[in-house]
Amino acid sequence: MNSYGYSGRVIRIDLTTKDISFEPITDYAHEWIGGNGIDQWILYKEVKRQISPYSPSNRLTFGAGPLVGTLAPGASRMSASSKNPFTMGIGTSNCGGYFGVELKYAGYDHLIFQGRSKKPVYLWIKDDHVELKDATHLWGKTIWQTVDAIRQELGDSRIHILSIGPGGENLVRGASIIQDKDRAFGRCGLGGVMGSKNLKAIAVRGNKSVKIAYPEKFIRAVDELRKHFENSTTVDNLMKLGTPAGLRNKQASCGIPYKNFQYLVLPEDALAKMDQEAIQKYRVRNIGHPACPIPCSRYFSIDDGPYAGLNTEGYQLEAPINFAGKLAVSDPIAVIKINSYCNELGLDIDMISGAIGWAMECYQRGILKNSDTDGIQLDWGDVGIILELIRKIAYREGFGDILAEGCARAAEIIGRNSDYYAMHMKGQDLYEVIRNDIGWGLGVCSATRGGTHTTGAPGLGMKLTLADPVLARKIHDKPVISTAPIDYKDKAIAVFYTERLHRMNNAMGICHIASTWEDPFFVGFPEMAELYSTATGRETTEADLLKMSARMLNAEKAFNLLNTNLERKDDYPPKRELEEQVPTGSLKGWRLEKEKWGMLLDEYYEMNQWDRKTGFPTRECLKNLDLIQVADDLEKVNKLGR
Amino acid sequence: MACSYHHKKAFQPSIASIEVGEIENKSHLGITFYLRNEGIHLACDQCIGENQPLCIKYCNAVGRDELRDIWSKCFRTNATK
Repeated sequence: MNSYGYSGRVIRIDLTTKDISFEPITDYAHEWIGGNGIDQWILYKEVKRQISPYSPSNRLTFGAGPLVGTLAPGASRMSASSKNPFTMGIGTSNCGGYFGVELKYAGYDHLIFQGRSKKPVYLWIKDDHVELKDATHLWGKTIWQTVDAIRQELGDSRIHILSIGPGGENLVRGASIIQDKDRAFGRCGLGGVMGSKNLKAIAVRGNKSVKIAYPEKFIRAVDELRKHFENSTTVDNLMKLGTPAGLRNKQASCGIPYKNFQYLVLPEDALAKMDQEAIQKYRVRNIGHPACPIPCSRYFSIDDGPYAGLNTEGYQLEAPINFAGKLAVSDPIAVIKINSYCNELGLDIDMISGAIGWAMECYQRGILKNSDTDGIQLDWGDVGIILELIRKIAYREGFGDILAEGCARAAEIIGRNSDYYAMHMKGQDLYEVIRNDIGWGLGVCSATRGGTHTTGAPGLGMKLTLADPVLARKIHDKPVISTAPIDYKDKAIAVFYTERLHRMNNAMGICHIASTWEDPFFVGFPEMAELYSTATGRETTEADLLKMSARMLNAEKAFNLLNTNLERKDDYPPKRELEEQVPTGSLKGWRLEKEKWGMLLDEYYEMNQWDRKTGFPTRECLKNLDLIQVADDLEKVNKLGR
Repeated sequence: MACSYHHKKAFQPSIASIEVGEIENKSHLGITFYLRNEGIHLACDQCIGENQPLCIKYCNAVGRDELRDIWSKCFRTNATK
């Protein structure tokens, strides 16, 4: 196979021996496309069962898909994967920016780290030059200090960097890896895995090319797609307000986990304060990464008030949902500050708000006392307290050491029936409200990595696509009718297709926002098939891509089954989400039903050819996906579905 | 990226006739056009043979107008770099 679309090589770095070796991407590309697809198959094959995520023999992989570094709309995403410190199963995270693009231009598609360095190191890649450099002087520095120091040391401000901060160094369970200064591989605690390997950073600069098999056909496909982004109201809205454009929709649909999911809407005065006008005056410009047709990220420069001097990119929808929602912060500028502080220290904002939200609710209910919290009074919305707790988490100081474990483990440590208030899925702190939207909720609950909405929860574009008999043909041959959020009907199939779309986006390197997940006219399976075929020269159909997505999903599922005790019961929402009525807002009085959720799982498992009783993949399923080896592996541990 | 496609039918920003950076806390784009071959950068031929300059065509909506203005000024005054 030629390396069109791909740069052609994988770098394997053994941090114990300092050995750096190179492997052809052809070992993986035919079967797993790229990005998370290849990453997770590497984990499946190489990670010994039942080891700690922080064991030297664990792997940490990074992958930039075959469309990254080209003009394919939205193709600037990159995946990172490892064993998940929250669930002990699969851990994967995805991030947009320049690093993946630069890695491709340096001549590489994937990085595999194994072992543990005796001293802190960072990896420097400049085309054919790949070197481990001493990072002793960088250990202890924040993300922002590290990025500045490496660029200065290497004498090039255009170097792109992945690094960890104190969070990763101190093995905070929800530590993130930050790309340059403000973009996060947030979920699944991969920063701690990187820290456990004494790997402070990875820096890259590339001067080579990404070649295309059929350039004219490829660029025609790009041009056709780009027409859909021109004069699009979706693009206009996202450019004006960023993803927080969705905040009012979340409010209307009871999708904001206010005060740690006690309520599902913001108080009206708090919503008014979060209005975008309040922050627009600090917006310097929108940011778009290479090939991005929707530059929805915004750069802020705060020049007055208590956070004057702060310059940062950020404030995606997650920030107000987490901090104005879960923690009841009422100042939008403070939300920007808290978000940026997490980036600076290398911490996942979903985990931070999950742990602090749990603590604040326990404090509200008298479960936690000042004697538990280092004397700190945990009042909702107190920005100073929140910033102090974040610092204590990053450095694992006092009460912060408990919160650094995430809400599920913190509740185990504290006991006192505090686990009811620990909102998590499979052990990882939960960001998403589940009970207000059954399709979305099923995608979150079934996610192999432990919650999260970006590996299978149907978004607005997906719902519109599924509901439209013409558009639906873009992804499947049976139009789905019901997209009503609190109707169980047709939600399994919506998740079934979204799981596949998300996996293929991540494998190719396409941003979800530029895909049919966001808008039915954006990049979908037919377009990805055309882009992939013309970029790589390997004729690939939509059906091929759907099958490869299913292979990825089942490989993740199998990794979980071989490494954890996760099963059907772990695909139910947390107790509060399942049992409590919605207290206020448009869905006041609505409640999920356990029996109906069970029937939904039956339908979803059956669609996937998984065992209804356990959720385990069947041999037939795995055989159809050419994963016989996986079936044999599962059979050996009695986890093959029937 | 688009510029290198014009020159080589491949994606290789390092040879491009245009370099885009961000200056003053990302408040403005810093743009350099190479009008002569320099290092591995190829001289800008103003996208000869294309319907419009590809750097402008494929620039995202935020920077496109700014880039078009700079492009026009640069080539109207025939600046060298």
